[in-house]
Amino acid sequence: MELLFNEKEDFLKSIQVLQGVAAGRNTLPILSNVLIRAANGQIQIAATDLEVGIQIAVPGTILDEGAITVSAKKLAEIIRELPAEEIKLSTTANDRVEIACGEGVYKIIGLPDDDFPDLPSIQGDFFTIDGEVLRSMIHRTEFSASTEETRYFLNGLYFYLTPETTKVIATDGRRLAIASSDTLTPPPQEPVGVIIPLKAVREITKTFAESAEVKICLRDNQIIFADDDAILTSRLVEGEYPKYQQIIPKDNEIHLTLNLERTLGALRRVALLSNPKTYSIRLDIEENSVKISAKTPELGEAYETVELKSGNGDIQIAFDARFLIEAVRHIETEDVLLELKDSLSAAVLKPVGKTDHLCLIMPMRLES
Amino acid sequence: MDEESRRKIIHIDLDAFFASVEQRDNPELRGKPVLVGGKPEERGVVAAASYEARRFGVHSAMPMKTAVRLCRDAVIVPNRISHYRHVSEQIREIFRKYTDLVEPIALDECFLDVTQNKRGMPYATEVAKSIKAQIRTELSLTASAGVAPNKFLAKMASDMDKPDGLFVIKPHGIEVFLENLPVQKIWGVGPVTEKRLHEMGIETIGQLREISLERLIREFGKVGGDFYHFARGVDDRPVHPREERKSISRETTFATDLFSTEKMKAQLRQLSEDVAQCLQAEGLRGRRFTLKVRYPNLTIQTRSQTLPAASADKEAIFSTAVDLLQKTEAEQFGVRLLGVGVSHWDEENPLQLRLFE
Repeated sequence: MELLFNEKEDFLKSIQVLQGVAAGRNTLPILSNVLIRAANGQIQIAATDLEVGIQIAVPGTILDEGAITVSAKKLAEIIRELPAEEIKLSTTANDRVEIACGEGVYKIIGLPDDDFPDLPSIQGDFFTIDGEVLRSMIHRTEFSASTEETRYFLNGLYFYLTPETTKVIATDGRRLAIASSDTLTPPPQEPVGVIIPLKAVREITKTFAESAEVKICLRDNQIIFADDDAILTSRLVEGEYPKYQQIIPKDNEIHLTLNLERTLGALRRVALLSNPKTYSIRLDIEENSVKISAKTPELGEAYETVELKSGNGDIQIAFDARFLIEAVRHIETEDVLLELKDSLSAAVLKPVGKTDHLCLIMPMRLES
Repeated sequence: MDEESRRKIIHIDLDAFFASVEQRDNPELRGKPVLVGGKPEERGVVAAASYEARRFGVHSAMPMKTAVRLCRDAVIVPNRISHYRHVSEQIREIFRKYTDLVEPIALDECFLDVTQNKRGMPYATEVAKSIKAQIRTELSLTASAGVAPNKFLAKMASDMDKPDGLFVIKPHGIEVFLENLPVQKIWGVGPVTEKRLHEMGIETIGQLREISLERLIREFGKVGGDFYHFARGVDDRPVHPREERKSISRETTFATDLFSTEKMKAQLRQLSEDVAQCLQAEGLRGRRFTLKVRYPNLTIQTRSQTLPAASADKEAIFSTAVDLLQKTEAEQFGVRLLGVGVSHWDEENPLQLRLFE
């Protein structure tokens, strides 16, 4: 195999995406490698850890077709440091890979491609979704997913695809986020819900960062995302997703409208003096304003008052400051709507005038 | 592999621990077949059998009635669990003279990481010999030790040369050691997995090694990956010195088998209350609830469910246990034992409220 790459940055970007997928040590050595394959006039590079797999077509000139696998980490490190000149990548005897660029020659020991796991292609029926919509739905929910290993089925985003809408849901048991959009093209015949592991979700955003349209294809226990240049395969998480519809409050009668930037700034500043063990931040809501306060014994205390654009309640409530900040930060309108019931029930945060996004946060008990 | 081969792990297993303690404390029992546990007429179970009794085919967890039939001269002594716990603590004190990396897995079993030991002894085999000698002289008990580069192999090794054994697996001997061992020796291979492996034509660890990682993961999920590594003698789990409880459970063996669902539920209610009380006393909340069933033919089945939110509530435990009971064959076959357990602790801020409660 003999290949020429003129665009170092393109090549590097693709390899770095794959490096995130390639398995670490303590697994099959070949899984820490990227596959480089030149066939049918196309150069493809791929990596997989058997949970998530990505293959990307990269621009380049094929002088001689062939295939090899080589350490993802080492390849990324070398390419990153090379000058922005033409890179020649070729295979030599005994599965060696030779990289020549400028005055330098780098030889790394690879492994034959025969043992590299098969990678799927998009076949049969698929749906399409607007790339920006997909990225936005992930962005507006992912922060609420659990990263605790024991709750494996919460370590992912729940994609709920129905003939009417597409929903993405994330929760860690204390907060929850839902983003929705129009249904897929063509619409699914009946509702289907799948849990996609967080690792795959992060790679979707990177791999399809600029795609205008993304294809989605469901198989037994896998989901495939693809555009013209890349295919991402992920194993689905097994397990029953919590019945999230039941916990969305319908009788939160206190409605407050706040300026988002003003509120976010105040929350961030006051949170600096929240107790590092609990991150508790307190909201004292009155007719026209909300007083945001926090204190930590042996450290100090802070408060800031934020004017309400509208409000109808009088209530004291506390939250984990981090949850509140992250939810507010992901709302994409100028003002944010906060809906409350009482100091022990879930709060709802929404964009004003839009119904495609909702965050739920359970409060913390007020410290006496 | 370099780092792996540098670790020195010892697994120590006290020989017939409860029975040996009884024989040590009461000279009249020495040399006699001793069974620790409940009386046969009360449907007791063998908690431990001395080596003299094991010669007759008696083993722990066997119904006392069966044990007595196999070994007519057996002396039955009641289980003094708090006493064994005390002796176990004395043994762990000895371990801690060599290393702080002591991970207890049961009263009579521990892992020790002696790569860096307090005595500066270069060979783990010497450490194991020294520990065994100290247990013998100070506590008049014998132990079997397995020495290996990791926990998986060390545990296998301690089982090779019982009682009073010492078995060493050196890094270069791993492959030969594992080659012909039956697959069920592998950690995590229970009867169901064993059956599936047999169906795949795999009887020995050597045969298991021929199966690709992909296939094992496809067949068994994540644990398939563990099997792949274990089959090669690879195990990088560290020795955890923490001594915290991993689960809290209660179980009851019934005087007569239960066939009525109502009676089973009544038992589950009592067990759930006991577990909840214990959880609350320890200030723990768990997310994973487990039901254990032993059928009249003595086979055991467990069913678990992980909840989105942790709980220590007796109603939550009870209703999950009832749900899980429906996933067993209890109604069809009846039950001899029921057990309820809670694990997977929730370590979070007690002020934070949860969504799914």
